[in-house]
Parts: sequence; structure tokens; C-alpha cells
Amino acid sequence: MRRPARALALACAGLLLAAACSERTEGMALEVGLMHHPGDGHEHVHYPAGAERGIVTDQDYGVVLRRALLVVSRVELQPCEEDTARAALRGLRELLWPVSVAHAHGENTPTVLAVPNVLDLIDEDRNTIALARMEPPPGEYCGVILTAGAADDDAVGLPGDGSLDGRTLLAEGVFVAPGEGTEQPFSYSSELEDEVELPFVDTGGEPTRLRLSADAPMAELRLEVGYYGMLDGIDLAEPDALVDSFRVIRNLLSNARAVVTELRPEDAPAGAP
Amino acid sequence: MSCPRHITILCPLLGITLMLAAASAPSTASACATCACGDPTLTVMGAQQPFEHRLRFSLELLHRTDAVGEDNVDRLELSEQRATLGVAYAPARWLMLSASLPVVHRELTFVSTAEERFTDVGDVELRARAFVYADRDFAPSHLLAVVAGLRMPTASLEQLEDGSYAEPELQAGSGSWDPLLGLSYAHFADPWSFYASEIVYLPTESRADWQLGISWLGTHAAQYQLDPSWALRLGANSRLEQATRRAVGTGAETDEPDSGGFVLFLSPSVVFSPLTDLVLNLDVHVPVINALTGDHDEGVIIALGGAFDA
Repeated sequence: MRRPARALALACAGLLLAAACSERTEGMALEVGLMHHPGDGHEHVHYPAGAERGIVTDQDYGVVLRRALLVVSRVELQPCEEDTARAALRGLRELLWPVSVAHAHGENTPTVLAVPNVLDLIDEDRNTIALARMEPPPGEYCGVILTAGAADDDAVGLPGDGSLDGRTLLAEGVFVAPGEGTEQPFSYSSELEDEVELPFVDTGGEPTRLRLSADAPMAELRLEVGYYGMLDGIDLAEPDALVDSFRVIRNLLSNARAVVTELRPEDAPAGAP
Repeated sequence: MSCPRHITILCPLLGITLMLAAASAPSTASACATCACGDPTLTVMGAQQPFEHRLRFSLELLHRTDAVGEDNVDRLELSEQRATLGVAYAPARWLMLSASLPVVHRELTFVSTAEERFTDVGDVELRARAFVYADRDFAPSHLLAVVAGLRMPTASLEQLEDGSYAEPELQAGSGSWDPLLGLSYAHFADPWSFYASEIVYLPTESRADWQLGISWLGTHAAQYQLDPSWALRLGANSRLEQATRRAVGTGAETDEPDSGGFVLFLSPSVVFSPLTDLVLNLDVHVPVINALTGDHDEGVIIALGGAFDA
């Protein structure tokens, strides 16, 4: 028995030596960030965090926005050459359910961020918050589908007071009707879901493509939401809570853009390769 | 713990070399296992006949590939090499106790072309095999046993930067205490022998947020002994399992999309005994029926095993 016991000890030592090593080689990576700003035509405006926003709508309502939260529930990267079956399914879904009620979030995948993030439009303008890193396959991508949907318990940035639980949007403030001097409060909230397809643009606003390859494996995607036109098309004095709330969500998504830039390794955020 | 690339390669090589050295270490034992049990059949680890104080060591080197997920969307490819050291001891004629300690080396290739390599101890497994029926005391030709055991969460679980656990398929172990129950039957009719085993694993909730599904592993093999040193074996190994559950305990449980289902491997083997009490086997497991759920493709498994009676 002595030699087998020694052999066993030797084998165990070998097993322990073999254990507990790991290493990683990075592949394609897309750093995704989210920010807001007043919107096109208001480049000179910059509000600090917590400042009430003054807006004049397309119907000449003067608005003071005191609270505005939008939940970005999903970001899906779109290949330039989308699989035919996938495109057909998406088209069918849009045809059958043009407006849907939001549901619990799914899993992140290499081309989908599915964890909801709260965008606080009263926070400082043009302050990019990092959402996550996508690790998609190499290839050419032409845009993203940006979805606003209800916040679940895992939503990042969810207010602790429960005011946004299960909701997609919360917007509060006061308005003054054209030609009048009396302030009236307004409040919009919704649990509806909406999405928009955003083609990629470069930092100059020109259409571009995102090309991820071994030569250019890293890039940054910044989702910019413009809020100045969020109450356009709404008659604030004649409120229709359901329709108007959805209109606010659609306005915000319509005033969003997806800006991509290639990253060099030295430009990568901390923790990136 | 991370380590430089040359260490990553050297560690398992060194470990496996030491294990091979251990497996081939000469013993002073002069007992002949086949003489003691009264049957000349060459038995691979797990299929041996019991006799009191039988002590058997084993080492299995296994290579397998696996792939889950949709191509160009979320495909994850796995290449795994596993070295499992086993020991089995019979404190009584009717009882065989065994333990196995795997070391797992895995290379994962993600759809982004990122690669991860790690080597770690896997889950230790303990088994007790109680022989409840033998048609005769010496050299039985029919043996029926009840198997019970426990897979223990000795493998470390990989965590991501945010503290959450990586996907279950990326892990070297289940992260849970998993009891197992089963039956085995062996029939010895020199030069033929037959072996069947049905084992059910009943995983509990892991220390991460998933729970592996209940799985049923079937092993069925027929062996023909060409001469005292060589035998050929043909097996059919199956696995039927439930899907892995995610977000367990959160109230939002879901099934892991590419997990669960059924797979059947056809497994030809060569069994060779170069020395008294040393049995080597080379197995190839070819998946012939792949009814695994979702996008999940298991590849051919190659295993080299050795069992040594001390």
C-alpha cells in the first residue's frame, strides 16, 4: 500500500499544480454610452445637473420641465446585411404590435443590451453614462434599434421612491398656454414600449458604418437623446394622458441619434483591453 | 487567478505529466484482481467486480468539444480537456466506495473572437455502490447494484467584473450540491460481458442564480474479450436532461434557451491490459442523435483511461 499511497499523493499534487490558471484574449468590443442634450438647433445651451429646463413647444406652450425620466430598455445592434428571416420576423412583429406594453427584460447577448437604464433628462447635459460593453461578432453594422420600455427591479438608476417602477416615462413640470400668464401643472407617465431604428452617424452627423475587424476591434457607440422637442405635437391644455404620454416617448426616440467612433487601444475606457 | 500564457500551458502539462507518472508508478502489490474476483474479464473503472478490500486507482484523460448559441449572434465554442483522478475501495464484498477529482482545462471562443482559457479543479464526486444481488458468491455472472452519491461544488465559479456569475456553460462545475441515484447491472459470460447503468442527478440550487436541470445518464455496453490482454467494447451512452433554470429565487425564473434535451453517443472502445492489474481503455464517443434544445452541438469525445488495482 505504501507505493500506491505515494502515487496518489503525487497525482494529487499534480492536479493542484494544474489548477487555477486563467487568461483572456479580447475580441471585438463596443463601448456603449448614453447621454442627453437639448437637441439640434440648441447646441449653445448647456444645463447643469438638477436645473429646470425651459422649453417652448411647437404649439407655443412655455414649459418648465422639473422632472423627466426615460427608461432605455434595449439596444440592439443591426448588421448591415440582416438575415432575411430575422428581418421578416421583425417586420411581422412591427405590423402586428405597433405599440406594445413593456415586459420584463431579457438577457444581454453579444448584440443586445437588455438591461434597462434610466436616463434622467434633468441631469447634466452631454454627460455620457456608460451603459455596458457589447462584444459582437466581427462585421459591418449600420445602426441600432433603440427601445424605451418599462423599468423592472434591475433597472440601472431607478429612483428609490418607486415613482418609476414598472414605467417607461415620467415627466412633470408646469406650462403656460400661449397668450396666458397662469402656470398649470402637467404630468405624463406611461408603461408603453416604443422603439426606433437609428442609423449610425459619425461625430459630424454624417451617415457611417461601424466596421469591427481584427484590425479595428474596438469602437464606441454614444446614444444621444435630444429632449427639447419632447412635448411637440401635444396640446398641453387639452390633455389625453395615454396618447400624450406615448407621444412624449416617441418624440424622445425620434430625436435620438447613434454616434459611432473607432477606438484605439489607448482610448479605451479603464478595464478595457 | 490569472497567469501568463506559458504558465497556462505549462501548468496542465506538468500536472498531467505528474498524474501519468503516478498512474504508472509500480506497486509492490502482488494480488491479482481478476483472480480475487474469479473472473478474467478486463473491467474499466466503474464496472469492476467487488471483493473485500479491493482498491483501485484510475486516471482518465478526456477531450471534448461543445458549442451553444446561434452562429454570428451568440455562438460560444468550447474545447475541454479533463483529467479525472479516481479511487475506489471496497470495505466489504457488497460495497464499493469511490471518489473522483477532475481537473478541467477549458478554452472558450466567443462570437466576438474573444478567447478565455482556464484550468481549475472541477466538482469532486463521491459514490457508493451497494451490490444488492449476485447470483453466486465467487465469480458471479449477474451483479445488480444500487448507486448513490453526491457531486460537490468544489469547482470555483467564474465571476464577472460586476460580481455576477458568468454563464453556467462557462463554468467548470455546477456550483451546487447534487445528489445522484441509480442502478447498475453487469453480466459476465466470458468472453462476453455486458454492463448497464442508469444514473439520475438531482441538482440543487447553485450558489449562483441558476439551477441545473435533472439529468438522466445512461451507460450501456457490450464487451468481447479477444484474449487475456485485449477486449473490444461497444457502448451507447445517453443523456436526457431538463433545461437549466436561470434567476432562481427571484420570481422571474426562465429556462436557459440552449440547454436540456437528449443526446445519444455511440461509443466504441478498446480495452488493453499490458500488465497484471493495469487496464487501459481508449474510448471514442460519437454523437449519433442530437436532440438537444436550441442551438447546441456536442462534438466527438475522446477518452483515454487507466485503472490500476493496488
